[in-house]
Amino acid sequence: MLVFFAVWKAVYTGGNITQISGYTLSNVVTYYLITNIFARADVSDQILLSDWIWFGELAKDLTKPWNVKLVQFIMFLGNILFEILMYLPFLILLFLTFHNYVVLPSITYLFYFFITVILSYLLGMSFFSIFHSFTFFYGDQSSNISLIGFLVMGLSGGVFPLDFLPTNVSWIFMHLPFRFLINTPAKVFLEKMSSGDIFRSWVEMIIWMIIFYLIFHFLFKKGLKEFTGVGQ
Amino acid sequence: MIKKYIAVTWIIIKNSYIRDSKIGGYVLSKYINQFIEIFITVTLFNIIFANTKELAGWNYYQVLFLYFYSRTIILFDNFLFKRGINTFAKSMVRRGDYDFFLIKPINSMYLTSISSPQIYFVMTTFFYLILAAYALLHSGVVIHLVSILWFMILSVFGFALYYFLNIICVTPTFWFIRLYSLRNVINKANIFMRYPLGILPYILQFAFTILFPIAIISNIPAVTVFYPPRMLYIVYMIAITIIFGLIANAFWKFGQKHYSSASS
Repeated sequence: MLVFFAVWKAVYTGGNITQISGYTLSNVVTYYLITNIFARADVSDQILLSDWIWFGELAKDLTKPWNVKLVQFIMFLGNILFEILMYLPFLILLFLTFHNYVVLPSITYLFYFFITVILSYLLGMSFFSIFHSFTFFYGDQSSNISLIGFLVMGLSGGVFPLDFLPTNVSWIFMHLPFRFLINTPAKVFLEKMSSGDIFRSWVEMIIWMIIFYLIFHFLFKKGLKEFTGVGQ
Repeated sequence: MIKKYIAVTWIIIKNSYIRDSKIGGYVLSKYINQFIEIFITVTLFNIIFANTKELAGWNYYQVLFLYFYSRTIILFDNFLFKRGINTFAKSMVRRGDYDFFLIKPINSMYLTSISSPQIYFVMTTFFYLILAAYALLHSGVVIHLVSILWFMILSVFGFALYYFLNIICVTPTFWFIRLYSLRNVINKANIFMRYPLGILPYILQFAFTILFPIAIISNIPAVTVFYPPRMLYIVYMIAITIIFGLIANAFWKFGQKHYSSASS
């Protein structure tokens, strides 16, 4: 965060500019603050399914009278909340350090932001669960999952706001579902989207979520038939 | 004595080659990871330099060189030491595996670090080196032979300094055996190597050139290659590497006294 702040401050002051693609320096600093939360509570790191399949832990849940996917989902939520809570003191420290540059949204947009964040985590979970379920068929997927996570971090706007990209490049990014994971929540926080755009984004997020979930559901069901407990 | 160290290092590297050659998929994913990182970072630099001509007085190719060069140092360290140091921080002290390193007739700090090289990082190191050379040639700065020579000498010191800082970061494992995140400190801090020091506020410049001099590892050699070598910088780089080498060694030995095998 410190480095990104220093870099962008040098860009704005060195280039003697007040805005880049509609973003002021304060907007960029706030954007990185939001990005920091997503990077800390990274969705790709918080799903345990792959490890559970690979090490045979899943067998314990399969013999219990509950839905395995629901258990995984609850654990995912717990992990995300824990990461955010652990990060809270640092977040407050960052906020105090950069408070002159942080832009806060109105109550309405703060509400929109929370809804968007919840949807983005659900979307992220349904997407990454697909790769976790590959463990049933191809063995340990940890390195592939971290690779995809790294790629998605870039595609979702985790390194810079996607609006900074040239139009022809950003067109590609804006048609991929990954922008909903970081870029869209950050833009909502910064009030850079109208209410209509936000509602449209929510609908798109839900559609993508359903698509990814159906793929995951199909793979999970098929994968369970291949599952042999420890030694998978 | 040096012969013995070279022989041991060579044997460990050969073992690493045999081990890594059996995990082609994993190695491939690591390569793809590096390509993605280059793509994202170069895109970021393109965005930055679309809005400004210079970053703290450095042009696009100079900043690109600094980034590729710092990655070269980091990846060379990853090749030789990272996994060994990570294993030390993660499990060696907790499980008592450090015993096996203590009883060998080789410096335990070195043996721990070199214990698990990742041979595939050699390829990525070379790749970054080529990219750094490309950026250097396109920087528009006339490079003198003497600058290149000093740059090479300072690179050796820079690499050593990076290693010593890494050791200092993980040595508290002797006391805090479950503080696994110690191994990530250097990974987080090495972002300060990627950008010109001049962009940082003075207090951070002071912190990362004197207290925890990670920024100078890439910045001083890069300044030396782009501009006429300054003796003050060169002497400082050499002196601080030696000082931190002594600190790392003393700190390690001090921590080692706290080690009491598996019950630690």
